[in-house]
Amino acid sequence: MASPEPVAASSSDAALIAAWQAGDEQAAAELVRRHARALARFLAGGGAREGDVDDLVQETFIRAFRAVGKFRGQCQFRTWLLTIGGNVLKDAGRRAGREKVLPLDEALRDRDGDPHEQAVAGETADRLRAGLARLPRMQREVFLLRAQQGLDYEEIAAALGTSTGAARVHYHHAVRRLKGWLE
Amino acid sequence: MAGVKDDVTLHDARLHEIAQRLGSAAAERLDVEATAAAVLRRLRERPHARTDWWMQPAWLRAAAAVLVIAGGVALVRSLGPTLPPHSSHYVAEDLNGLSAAELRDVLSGLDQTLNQTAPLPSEPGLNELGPEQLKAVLRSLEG
Repeated sequence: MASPEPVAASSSDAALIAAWQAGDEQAAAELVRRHARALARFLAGGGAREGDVDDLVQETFIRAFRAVGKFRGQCQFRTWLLTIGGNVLKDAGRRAGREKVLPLDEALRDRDGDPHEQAVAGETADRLRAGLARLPRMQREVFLLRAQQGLDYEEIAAALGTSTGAARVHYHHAVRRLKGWLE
Repeated sequence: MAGVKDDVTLHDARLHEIAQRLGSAAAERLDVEATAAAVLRRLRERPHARTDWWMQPAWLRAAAAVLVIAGGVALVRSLGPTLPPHSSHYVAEDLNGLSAAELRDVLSGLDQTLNQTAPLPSEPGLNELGPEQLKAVLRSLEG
């Protein structure tokens, strides 16, 4: 399924999706390059163990590419991909048959600066991660899409198949509960 | 709705800041080129592994439920009205916990069962059942 001409890195997601559907593998590779890190952050924020993130990213892209015919452009491709990642994460947790093990956020540990500030920031991040694991899935995903990925409510609602108002309520419930646990 | 207005207080901003850092180590460590290559390789290895609609677990569960009910009817017909009335209902509920592979096993097993029981020429059809036997069949379909 080789492409006769390399796909341009500047192509839109929609153009890359169309190229992939026409058999261009490099279009799929470019989509992976474009969105893999955001997806990894979302999965790790959602409770994936650090050692599992690579596999979960791959599995998410494979599911997305196989189901891309169902993507109607109701939201951005990345947002749609993240919701698939949420399903992959849920399935992985079910397969593992165990509670998610929450890893320490080494990004905060490795950062240069005051060790005391690092320790406080790391502890807060750990508590936030633990709090996210306790939230209902919808609240957790809405919170991550909003707070971590910076998406607006319309985009989140379109991706999750809910209303803008419902997405807003899920977010605020999540924030209220997380604040309660963090304080 | 005043309680859910889109205000970002200082505390919310702090929460966002921490949330934005979550997973950043995992993202940084991800080898994007290797991931892209692995995805393409896995897509090539299983090019036809897409899940057709008729292979979805929901359809398999529905098909298995129909076969279980049909099996229940066949069983009632062979045992008469003494069978406990809700047995097939409980069996159908058990399907919820089965994986797709397990459901396929159930389907293939029932196919064999039905093939073994169907050709009996002396077996009565529904028209030939008495009222008590018909009630037993209906009870077995409840649920």
